[in-house]
Amino acid sequence: MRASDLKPIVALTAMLAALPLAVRMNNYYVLLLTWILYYSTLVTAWNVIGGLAGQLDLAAASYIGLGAYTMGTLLTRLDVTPWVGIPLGGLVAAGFAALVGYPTFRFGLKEAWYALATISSVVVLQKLFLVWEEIGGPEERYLPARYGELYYLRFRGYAPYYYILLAVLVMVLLLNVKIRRSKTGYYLLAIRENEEAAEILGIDVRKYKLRALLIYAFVTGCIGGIFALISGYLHPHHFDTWTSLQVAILGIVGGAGVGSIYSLPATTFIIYSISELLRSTLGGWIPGIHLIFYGVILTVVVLLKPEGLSETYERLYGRIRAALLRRRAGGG
Amino acid sequence: MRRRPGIGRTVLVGALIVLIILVAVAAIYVRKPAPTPSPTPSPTTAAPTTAPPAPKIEEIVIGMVEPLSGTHSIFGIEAKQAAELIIEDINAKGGIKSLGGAKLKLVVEDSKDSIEGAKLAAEKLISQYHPPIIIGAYISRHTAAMAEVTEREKVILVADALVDFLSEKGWKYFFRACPKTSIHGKTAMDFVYETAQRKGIEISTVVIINEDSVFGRYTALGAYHEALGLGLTVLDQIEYPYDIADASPIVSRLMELDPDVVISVPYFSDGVLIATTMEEVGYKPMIVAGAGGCGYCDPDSISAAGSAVEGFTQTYSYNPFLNTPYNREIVQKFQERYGKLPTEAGGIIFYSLWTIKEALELAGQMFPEDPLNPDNLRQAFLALDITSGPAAETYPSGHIKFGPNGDNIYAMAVVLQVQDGEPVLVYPFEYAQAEPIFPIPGYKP
Amino acid sequence: MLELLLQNLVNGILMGCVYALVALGLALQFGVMDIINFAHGEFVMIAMYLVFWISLYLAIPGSLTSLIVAPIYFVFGLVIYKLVIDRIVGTYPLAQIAATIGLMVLLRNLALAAWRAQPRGLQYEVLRGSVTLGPVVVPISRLTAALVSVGTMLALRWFLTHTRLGLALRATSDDMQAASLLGINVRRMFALAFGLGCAIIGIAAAFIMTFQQVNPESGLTWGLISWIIVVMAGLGGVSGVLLSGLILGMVEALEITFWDPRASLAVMYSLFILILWVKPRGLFGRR
Repeated sequence: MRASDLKPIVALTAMLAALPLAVRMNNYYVLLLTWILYYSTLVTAWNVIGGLAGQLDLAAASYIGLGAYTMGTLLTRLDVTPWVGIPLGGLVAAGFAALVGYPTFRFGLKEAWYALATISSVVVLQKLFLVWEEIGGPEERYLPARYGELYYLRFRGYAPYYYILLAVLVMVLLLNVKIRRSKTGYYLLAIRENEEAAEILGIDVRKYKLRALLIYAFVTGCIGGIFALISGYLHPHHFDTWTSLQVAILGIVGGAGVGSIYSLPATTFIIYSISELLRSTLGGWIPGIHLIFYGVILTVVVLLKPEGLSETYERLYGRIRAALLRRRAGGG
Repeated sequence: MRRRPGIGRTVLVGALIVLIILVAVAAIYVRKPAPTPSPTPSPTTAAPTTAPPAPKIEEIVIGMVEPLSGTHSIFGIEAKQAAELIIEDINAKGGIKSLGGAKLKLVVEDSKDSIEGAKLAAEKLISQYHPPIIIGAYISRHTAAMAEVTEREKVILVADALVDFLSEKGWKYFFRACPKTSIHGKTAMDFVYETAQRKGIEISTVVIINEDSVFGRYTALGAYHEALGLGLTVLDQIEYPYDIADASPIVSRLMELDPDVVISVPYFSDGVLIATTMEEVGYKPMIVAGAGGCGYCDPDSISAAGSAVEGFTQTYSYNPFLNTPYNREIVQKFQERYGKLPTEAGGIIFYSLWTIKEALELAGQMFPEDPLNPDNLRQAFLALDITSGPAAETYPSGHIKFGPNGDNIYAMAVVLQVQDGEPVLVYPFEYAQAEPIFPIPGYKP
Repeated sequence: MLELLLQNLVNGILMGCVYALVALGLALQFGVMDIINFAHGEFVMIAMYLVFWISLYLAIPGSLTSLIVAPIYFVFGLVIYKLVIDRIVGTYPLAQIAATIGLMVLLRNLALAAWRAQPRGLQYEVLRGSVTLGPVVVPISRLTAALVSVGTMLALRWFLTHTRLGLALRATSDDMQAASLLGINVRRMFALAFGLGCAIIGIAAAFIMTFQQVNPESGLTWGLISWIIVVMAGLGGVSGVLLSGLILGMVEALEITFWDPRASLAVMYSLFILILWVKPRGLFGRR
């Protein structure tokens, strides 16, 4: 890792850390920011499999649900603190990913088939947890309402969750940068560009794809645990195919794996804000307007800019920078 | 990776995390002493009058959170339509008289059919409009997610979700006028049992089929316990997903079990699917009694299922045929404006909003100096005993009084039956418009 | 018990034929263009709405509307092909999947915005009642649907093997480059395949509507079922699709009868994943 890698992360963190203060801790805005950060983290993690390894994974909700149920069940049944439960949830999610991922890569499922297999896993888990009355069942299972205790990690406000997610986001960003600069990262890139060629060059394609999948599943499982803490209960609906799709849509529109990693949180921020704005202004007259927006933006971006928006941001940034420099030069 | 001189990577990362934690702690604990805004939700007040004690209240915001998009939007949209109608009506009739004719203002937010959205909607309403009362969110788990917010902010939550446990959580600012799920299940079973006795027909076996949400389960359980209490045999309880593509396997299972009575808790279109499949294969038990507010007797279902639902019954939290002046008036207005009969989702909103209106009136009388203070409002809700007026005239039992847990003590569900293609009220017998048909047409012993 | 088993096998077979018909359009598009349309279920849903409105305004039975809906849907297919699919055929797979997912989200929510969420069912339908064959009761609506399904498949098969256009389609499906060299306009073949696939969806939708209702979320169920069938059938042609549909229908009926109806989707998808692993080219694949 180089200093040039860290600078933007430090800048981003400082900016994001100040945001809740900028909205004066207004609960609505902080919650909105928390959900944006939640999806940003998911999308950034998704970049490892979807961007670097180029596999269209739609199982995010499987890992979120497993992470949530692991953490939540340990907390409600055995009083295990989320500090332990969240990483354990990540491990369970990674375990499930290995269980599904190993044969999937072993038998060479790719592209659309991989996408279908992974989204199916979400439905399978949702239904199994619905039938599995011991742990799941149709009834919501509430987490203990012990607010403000660090042991239970439950808070009445959202700022604590915001900062927890921010810490996770920073770690995931660092992870992404680190992988990209490592041998694994170069191999993954080779696989993404041309899997057959990579294989001929002697890269163990399966091993590296699985490694990317496990890292991604672990992180997503951990985020799932945090999601359960925010929502306050467990329900089979945590395995929600729309979450999976949303993560992939944001990732694709953001240009996962193509340009800068910062394009992903930026895209999430922009799209989620616009969709929330649409929902809260026009949602009363046109139900589902925010989802129509998702559909339109995805289709349009894929048709007109299949490589995603990251390059657009970069060009925009370059232009703004040039303009600023010019003005400074002119002024000085 | 090679390390470069001058950059302690671990140091930097560590510093970063420490920074985040520091800011977080600072943000949480520095701001703690100054808790959330003013304890009194501030209504839009007129220019400060010279007499300081009671500023004149001109407008009171009522928040509403409903699923306007996604699977459950059919209910959310009807609830919103009903709410707009009632708020207009309340304002046209002079607003809250004890508060100097203060008008109500409705602000509706979409729960996006998700927990995430329900919480966001509640936070938005509270932080931007400061409503003293929020009504919603139809789906029990969304209501529960909202209750965490409303309890924290001390906002009265009037629920239109039926699942039992909502009133068992010890929430202080929670009220629910509509009957809960177990009452629906119990009512369906009681109706069948009492009707059979009236007609002198022996019934002994029951099969319960319900859609697989927590709503379906709790309604089914209400019927199950009542059946056991009445000494009937429950042969089986079958749960199925509401979006089932084909009901034949379930109907085949019913034919095999061949019970006297089928108690069914449909979600919506699955009810029509079950009814038409039964009709097609020519199987009818003595009665198919629906529980839980929608499925068999809604105008949409009857037009879609035709003769297949003839004789089927369904419990409702609201009776559109209730023969009172106000109910007739509002049903007519609703039909004129939206071109359909109000059903469960809209009906609950009718009386819930009028109950809110009565509570605000009472609060104005009991606490003229600070009627919108949440604790004062709560006192007013608890002191309510409505037996007349629009709320009572739209409520099945005509009586609303809240118990300490926030549930209506006089909660009641009614049973409608499809007779000659029209839904008519058949139970409780004292309010009935027509004698129930039992066994239903097509039943072959 | 034996009767129940028999009854449910029949139920499963009838539904299996319907499933196969719904998936047939997708299978055709996939076979020729090697593209998976994630919005397939939403296409079915929109077609079901069309059936509903046409039947309502012209006051004709839903089953007859298939004669009107199928041509309309053929044109609809061509338009979608021109607008979206044409730009993504042959590009990298991620874009194909993403574009059709976008279409899926868009269509589902446009339907919600336009028609709200209440389920709509046909009010005029001649296909009611049932016939009794020994211990088994067969609903006429599903029997007709199954017969139409088999009929459509036979017709498609005849078209693919006995007409010049059909042979050209098959040639495109087998080897795009070679077909192109032979002077076949590949792009036009793609458009034809997409349109035909959509026309078949139109027929399927009319017969689903004889016993089902439609709401904006209906697409989910039918889309997922179609994917499973296409995966099972591989590139096994029309008979492969029919056999896969039958297997799926029977698995579902038996699962609902003898285990928990709530788990039927879990069982079907587990089967799906399993087939993807073990037989990624499908049970009836020929290559």
